[in-house]
Amino acid sequence: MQRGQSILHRLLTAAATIWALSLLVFLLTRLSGDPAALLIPSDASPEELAQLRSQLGLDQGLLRQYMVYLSQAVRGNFGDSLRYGTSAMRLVLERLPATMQLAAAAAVVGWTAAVPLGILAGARPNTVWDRLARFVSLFGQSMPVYWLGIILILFISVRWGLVPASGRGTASHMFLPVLALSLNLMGSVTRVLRVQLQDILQQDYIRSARAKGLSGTMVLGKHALKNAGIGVVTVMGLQLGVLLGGTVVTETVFAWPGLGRLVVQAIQFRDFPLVQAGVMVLAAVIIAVNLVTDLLYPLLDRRVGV
Amino acid sequence: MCSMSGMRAASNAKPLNLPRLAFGPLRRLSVFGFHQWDVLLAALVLLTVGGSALMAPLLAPAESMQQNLIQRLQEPSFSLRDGISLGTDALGRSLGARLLHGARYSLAISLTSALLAALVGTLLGTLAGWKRGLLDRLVSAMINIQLSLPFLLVALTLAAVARPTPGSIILVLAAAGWARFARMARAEGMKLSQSGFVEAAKALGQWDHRIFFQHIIPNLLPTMIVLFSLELARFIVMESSLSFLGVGVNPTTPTWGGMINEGREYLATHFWLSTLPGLCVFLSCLSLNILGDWAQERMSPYSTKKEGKADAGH
Repeated sequence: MQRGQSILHRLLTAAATIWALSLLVFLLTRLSGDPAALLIPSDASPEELAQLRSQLGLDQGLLRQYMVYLSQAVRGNFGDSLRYGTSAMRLVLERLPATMQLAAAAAVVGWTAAVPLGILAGARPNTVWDRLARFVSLFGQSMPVYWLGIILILFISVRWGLVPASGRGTASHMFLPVLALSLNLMGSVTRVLRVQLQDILQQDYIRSARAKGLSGTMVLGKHALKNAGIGVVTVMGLQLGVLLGGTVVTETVFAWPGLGRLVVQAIQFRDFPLVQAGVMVLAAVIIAVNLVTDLLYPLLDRRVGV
Repeated sequence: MCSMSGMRAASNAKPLNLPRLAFGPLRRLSVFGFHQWDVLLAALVLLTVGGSALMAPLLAPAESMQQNLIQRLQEPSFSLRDGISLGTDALGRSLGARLLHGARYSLAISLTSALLAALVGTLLGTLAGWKRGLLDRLVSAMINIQLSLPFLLVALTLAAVARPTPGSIILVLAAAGWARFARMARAEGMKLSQSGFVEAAKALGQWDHRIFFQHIIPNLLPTMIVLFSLELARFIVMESSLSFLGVGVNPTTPTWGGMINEGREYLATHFWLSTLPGLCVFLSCLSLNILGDWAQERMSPYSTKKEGKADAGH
């Protein structure tokens, strides 16, 4: 009963988050000025402006406009893109796979490297591994991903000519963006795993596990890692969100034809329907990912009831 | 993967003096009994960056930032007679002068927005954690919503519709970044409100606002200052990302992010145009992170790494 209730609570929170964002997007686009004036060439006559306003439903009350917007948004309809003239939602969904591919590859590569490093650093404080992990996490936190991208392009593509600097197509096109994103990701996972393990390994129950004669590997695997896992999964869930949002920058640097680049270009063209659709879809994916991480908790830690 | 010796070093209550050996002879050098070179360097970098940002108009006159197409894309030069010149960009504007003036904009905007976010976040979070009830539910819901949306996406949406002036960018960054401060302040406020001295002050009949400002806020400050130094790094990266994407302040205003973007076209021939401003962002953030980590480790009661403290006595 309680389990069902709290799953319901999570679902409601996720829905509320999406709703709040849609309201924010609506209010911003309506209250920051007349959308019709942005859509129309500046030399248009007042009659043309008035015609466009009534065509877009802008001459009606704000509440009524919001109801129309909401009922269309629920069905995934954000209107037609001003630049491309086709459905904004369809454009967004066309680009989504490229973004997901990039984010998933970066997550797999980054975490595969970060987890062993974090464990080594956590289990052996003040060794080479510990210092390497500290180095990696400091750099991951401090280096803007687009600058890292530019440096990678400079050396690996421009100087050494090893892989293409931009575009999508072959596996070699993925090399640089995935490398940049995964190096960026490694920072926090390594950091959390290292700090948590070092704390956990000083706890009393670890000492008693050692005292009853368990080997170091058993203590680490059965007792320490199990408890460090929950913090790491939280960070990974949050990271997927940041990763999907961060592809906005990475895709711009590497000219990767994904959703993020589409949104940035739409912003430069003041293509509001496309911006709305892109932001809402990205946010929905991120919120879904966070929801899944939340629901995974009880599998890792029995003390947490969903 | 995990040897016995590694485990032992970690699980001993009193750690061996390994760090001292590990750093070798360098550790013996000290400045006023202080051994941590990374922290010293970080402080030095921040002082340099902050100082040159403050003195930018003195170090590099604003005229050198004017367009001069005859002098475009000049290479950096170092000579005793003319001093250091970092060359010029594609429009013939002095790179060095733009870096210095860019530091003013980038740092002023990040700093102001981070301060605003910290102020709002700390006040809301502490009040929520202290008073609980309806206010807490509201603030918690706002924190959860804010944290589940990525910072950059929110900032981008806001920046897309707000007219890009320094003021609006500051508001955008603060609106997108207050939640982490609020979450930390809420947890601390909850802990403090149950502590003995707050109970005692309440029992003595002290007014709420005096408890808040005299007992709760001062005890919260150390934690929030550490968080602030780590968050400021994130704000600097975020501000530069917005300028990089072209939704920051006016593109003719020099900002580090904008300069990185403009220099990208010339990466193959004039790589310093976009790598140097990036280096400024990176070094500033690295220094803030190093200082923040150091302060956090010194404050943590469980930390085994109070090296500065331990070393000062030996």
